Order: sequence, then structure tokens, then C-alpha cells
Amino acid sequence: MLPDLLSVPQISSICSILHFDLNVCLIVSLCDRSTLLSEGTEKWLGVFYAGQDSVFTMSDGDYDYLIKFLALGDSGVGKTSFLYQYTDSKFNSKFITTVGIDFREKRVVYKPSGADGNVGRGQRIHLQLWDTAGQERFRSLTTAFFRDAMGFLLIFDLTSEQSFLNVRNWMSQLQMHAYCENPDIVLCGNKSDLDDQRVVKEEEAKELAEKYGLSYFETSAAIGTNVNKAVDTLLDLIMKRMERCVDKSWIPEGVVRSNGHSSTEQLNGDDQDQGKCAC
Amino acid sequence: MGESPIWEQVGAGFVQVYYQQFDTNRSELGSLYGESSCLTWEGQQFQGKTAIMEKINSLPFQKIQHSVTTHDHQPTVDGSVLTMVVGQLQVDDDPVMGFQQLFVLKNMDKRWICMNDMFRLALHNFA
Repeated sequence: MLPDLLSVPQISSICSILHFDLNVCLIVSLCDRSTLLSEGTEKWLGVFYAGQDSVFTMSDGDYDYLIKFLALGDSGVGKTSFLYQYTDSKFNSKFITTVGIDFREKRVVYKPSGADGNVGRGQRIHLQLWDTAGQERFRSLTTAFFRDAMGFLLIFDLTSEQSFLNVRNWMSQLQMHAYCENPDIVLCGNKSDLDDQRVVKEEEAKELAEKYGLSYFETSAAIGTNVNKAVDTLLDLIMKRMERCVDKSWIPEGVVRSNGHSSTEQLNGDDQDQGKCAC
Repeated sequence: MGESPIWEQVGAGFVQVYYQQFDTNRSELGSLYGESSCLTWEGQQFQGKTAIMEKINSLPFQKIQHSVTTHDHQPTVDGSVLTMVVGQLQVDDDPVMGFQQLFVLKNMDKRWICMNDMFRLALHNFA
């Protein structure tokens, strides 16, 4: 008989038996819950989880914030490759979408920029980077799809005029359906390595970014240019927003301590915490 | 090899026509629905030919291609045909996704009308 719920220590031991490192675990969420899967162990863990309802959110609990980013943009602009480059520093031009793994994860340490004397005491961030397979086109966009993300990587293809024109549409979708009217967004013109095929000028893109008040980066998921920088910039925006929220006491005491790691409560999987930061 | 039961023939014929029409010119699917037909598309409900076609026409993609993996059919107590389809589809250049679709077909005025239509993408781990 399979246990109803595997505890984190149990998973750890499964992972160690199978020689996988928990730190490279990928999470697959089932509806609103999450199952922990280690890359390559899917088929093993699949045995344990098949047909089971009970799942758990990833967490050795060893982080201060769980932050969800969503990559948006027309199909073919390189969202998946972009995220893959960020989390794994790899590019696979024949990237095949693995159905069942919808987001990538990375742990980073965020160091606040100092005004409050916090330098050196990094906050441990658990970043979830959500990708889409185009399923949003079948759904009404008011679903949980946009709502759950705290920051957005809006990506277009420097070699595709249409993908650039559609940035406006994505912006209006975001303004309508994100958790607030002015969510944090970073605009990325991807495929900057394909210089001979470029059709969108840097000035045009910068102008558009300025109009919406966005940071703009020319990125290459293929060779890695500016990929980290774009994500770091977005993270910085989010963390600053959270600090502002804390300053204004929008987050109840106890969730985040002003000069250290939150000890009791994490911004865990299920999003009720996000509301506290809403604008 | 004997001839397959009538509900199999009706269901299989419908499946062929429906997806062929959907992939080539989905705005003409209206002829398969009636005024009291119901569509549930990814959880959203629509009733009547007009509302259903409005939804189908407004789907935001240029091209779509269905590939039917299996289709099963049964007769119901009131002489309709219940049809379940499992397949894959591709929209523009997006990754291939699985889908499931269920139909109830009813014979009205000597033609088969799709009375009920439920569509879901077969995605379990997406936002």
C-alpha cells in the first residue's frame, strides 16, 4: 500500500536512495497543490504518486520567500528556452516541452541594496518560473493563470515584428488580469544573437518600454546574454515592492521580520499571502 | 467482418466531420449544433448555436490541427449517441497538447445534431 502522503524527510530519503539532490528538484503542481519531482526520477516517483491526491508543497522550508514569475509572449519567442537558460545555463534549440513539467525553479539569495543597513544578510528566495504551453488560448484569461504570478517576463522576438506589436496586447491583458494594475514587468527582446535577422530596432523597443515604464533588455536565450540580468532586475522590483508593503505595514507582523529571515511563516505555495502585497 | 452498430457509425462519422471542419473552417461548425445545444469549453458554458459559434470563432489562434487518438460510442436510453474522444492538438506553433471531448448526438428531423459538447485540454500540471 502506498502512503497517503509522503513527508519531506521521506522524499529526501527516496531522493538520496535514488541519488538525486533535493536542490535540483522540480515541482509539478497538480491543480493547486504540488508534487515534488526530481529531474530524472519522475518515473520512479511516479510510482509513488500515481493516482494519488495527496501532495505537498516543496519545502524543506529553507527559504524566506517563494516568488512566482510568469513568462509571457507570443509563441515561438523563446520563453521556454529563456527560462531554461536561466535555471540551467543551457540552450537546447530542439527543446521539447515535457508535458507535466510546467515550471522551473531556482534558489537565489537576494541582498537588499542597503538603505536599512541590511547589507550582507541575504534573503533566501525560492523562484518559480512558470511557462506556458499555449493553454491560455483555450481558457478565459481571467483564470488563475495571470493572477498567481507576482512578476512577469514579457518576451518578444527581435526577429519578429508581429511579436513586438503584440507586446501592447500582452500589456493590456496584464493590466486587466494580473493581481494589480501595475504589476512588475520586465520587457525582453529575445534572440539578440540573430543579428542578421533582426527586424525590431533597439530604439523602438526602448521607446515602447519607456512608454509603459518597463525595464528593457535585449536577451539571447541561445547564448545567455542578459538573461540573468533581466530576471535579477525583476526580482529586485518585486523585493522592493515587498519592502514598500512592509513599510506600510500591509503585511501583518510575523510574516517578515524587518532585519532577518522570517522564521515562522513562509510565503508558501498557496497564494493567500500574495494578497497582502496587492496594490 | 460484420457491420458496426449504428451508434458506432453515427459517432465515428460525426467525429470525422467535426474535426475536419474545425481544422479547416471552424466558422462552419454551426450546422452541427442546434438552438438548445450546450457547450462547456474549459469550464465555460454556452447554450445555443449562436453563443457556441461566437465562442468557437473567437478562439485566439489562426490554425489548429486535431489528431484523434481514440473515439468511443454508446447508445443512450433516449436513442442518442454518446461519444468520447481522446486526442492531441496543435495550435499555431505551440507545443502539442492532449485533449478530451465528449458529445451527445441526437437525431432531429432526420439529421444528427450535437446536443452536448464538453471540451477539456488534458493538462494536469499547468497553471
